[in-house]
Amino acid sequence: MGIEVQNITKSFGSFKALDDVSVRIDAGELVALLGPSGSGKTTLLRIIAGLETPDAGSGPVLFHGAQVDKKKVGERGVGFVFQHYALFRQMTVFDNIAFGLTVKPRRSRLSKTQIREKVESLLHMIQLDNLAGRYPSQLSGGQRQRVALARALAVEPQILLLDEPFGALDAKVRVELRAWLRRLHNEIHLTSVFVTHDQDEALELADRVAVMNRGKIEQFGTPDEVFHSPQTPFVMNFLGQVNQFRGRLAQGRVQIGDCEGAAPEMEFEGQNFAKCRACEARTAATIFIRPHDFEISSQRREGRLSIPATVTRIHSAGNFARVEMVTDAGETLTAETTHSERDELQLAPGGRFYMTPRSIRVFADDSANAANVELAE
Amino acid sequence: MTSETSKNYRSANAAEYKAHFHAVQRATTEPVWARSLLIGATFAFLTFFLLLPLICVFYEALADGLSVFWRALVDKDTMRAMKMTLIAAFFSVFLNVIFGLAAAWCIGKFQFWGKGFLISLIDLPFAISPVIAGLLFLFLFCSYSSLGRWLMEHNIRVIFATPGVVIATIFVTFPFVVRELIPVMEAQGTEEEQAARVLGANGWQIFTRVTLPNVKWALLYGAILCNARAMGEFGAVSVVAGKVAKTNTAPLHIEDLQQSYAKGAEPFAVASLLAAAAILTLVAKAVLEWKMSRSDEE
Repeated sequence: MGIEVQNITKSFGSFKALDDVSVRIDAGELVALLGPSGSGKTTLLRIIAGLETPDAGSGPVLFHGAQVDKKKVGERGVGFVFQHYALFRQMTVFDNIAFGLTVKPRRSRLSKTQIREKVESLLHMIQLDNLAGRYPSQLSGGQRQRVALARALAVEPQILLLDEPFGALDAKVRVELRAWLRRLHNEIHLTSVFVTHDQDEALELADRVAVMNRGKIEQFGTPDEVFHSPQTPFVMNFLGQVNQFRGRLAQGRVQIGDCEGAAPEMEFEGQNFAKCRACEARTAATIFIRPHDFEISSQRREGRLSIPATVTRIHSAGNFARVEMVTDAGETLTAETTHSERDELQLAPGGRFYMTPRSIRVFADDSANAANVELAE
Repeated sequence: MTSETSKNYRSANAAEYKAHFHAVQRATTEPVWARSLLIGATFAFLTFFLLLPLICVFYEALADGLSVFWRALVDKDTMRAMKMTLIAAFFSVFLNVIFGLAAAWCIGKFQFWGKGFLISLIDLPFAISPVIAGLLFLFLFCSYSSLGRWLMEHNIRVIFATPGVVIATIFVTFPFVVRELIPVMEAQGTEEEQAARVLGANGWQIFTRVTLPNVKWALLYGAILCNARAMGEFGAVSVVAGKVAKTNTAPLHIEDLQQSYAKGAEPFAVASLLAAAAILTLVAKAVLEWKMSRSDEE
């Protein structure tokens, strides 16, 4: 077990940043805390680091099975990379990286030559060998980020925590650094947690993703799990684009407005649709369909859920054509299709088509889920 | 487009570009006569009110020759007054640096109840007339107050003695260091300190290796302004020094010389010392401002 936190609650005044959160992160894993701002992800990271204290009554924080919540920040053996790097502006790159080694008590401190060797090997690792004498202000954003990482790794931490590590970088550098960090993690296998609000980043980089909302972890799973079988409406909504309809369920069928039918792939609250009891009665529900899960046709598909809609706009710049439509009930709908299919069907504004989902996910409208859906809108 | 043709293209456009630039400049600046009038008025004002009096001080100081000038400086009373000024300046810079760091640290880096009140309190010495400040201390330490009586019983002299002069000077110069440090510390935030703490540094290491280096130029700047004010302070000190020759500071001594027998070069000679110190301060201030603007860019 790498990191374990149990029943952590943290309030700032009347605002509950974390609400009874528990999570277990395996040793050597790279985990993303993903969520919108205010979801509590940074607070959770800072509590793991020891930079915030959880409310009284919260459970323990354990690193590799040992309780650390009584230990001070500096004694926990964490490497922390701050969102804006927090490099020491009056020190050179070399001194920044060496800082953690030089502040150790004399008896456990390395000799000067050992420190020099270690810093040089770290500089080599972050590919900045020739910039040791520069000051942080003379570096680019990506270089600063790597120095911050080397500085955190210099003290050989048990775990590595990164707060929005790529948040302040431009898109191209962000993608490069992402790949570089993943390679680095594969080499050193340090238990690592990073905070991000960027789903691409979380899904691409992490072994597992904890999707957070309103101080709670909504779902914790591999990128595949959270993306392809979301357990809550919030996760469904937060990851990727999705169309959302109010509707009803009855006898294995879905009803949206005047249209009723089934789809080949149906899931009810993360479970197989066929097994769900709620579907027997006419349950009010929210129905989610991804834009790429629509079949577009000019004829109604019998036996299937087929929603008639009119094209309002087509965005063709991109790998796929994005089609914006409006249903007869006046609801907007977005679908994605290939360029060749667009040409074949002669999609154009004003055209009327039947939208037949291949895969739909349904969540019953109980109060808790409904509240989440509203927030996500 | 090859680099050759692009160069030609640019040079062909250069004249056009320049014309455009001047048109924009014409549209956004005042006419020549208005500019020269304003600049001229500023220079005339500065010359009349600042430069002429300064030249006058040095001119008068040397009017009776170098030997008179020198004798006025090495005079026993002058030396004593200078010593008193240096003592007052030293203590006020030293203590204000320590207190300024502590106050700016808690104001700039923490949120607490009563912070706004504390900030206004720090500005009090700027708002209050120095003479009133002197009187406050006079009443605080005089024999009518219980503190004054207690001090007298224990044979500690504050008023009309060196401690009084030092205390009055500290009060008057108090805001300089804090005022310089607060905005710098606020702008820098606490992230670097947090980073140092995570890396295992203790409080003292964080202060000496992260916090202090980050504010060193602002601190020096504040200290220099504080020193200049301490050396020039007249009002507050004149009340607590009480016209006793042994507690005279340089500014008080100049007034004595001016009002007593001498109408010659002596008061100007001593004044020229303070004026020289002021010029040094200005130079140091300019250098530091340049340094700070550079470290801001970094």
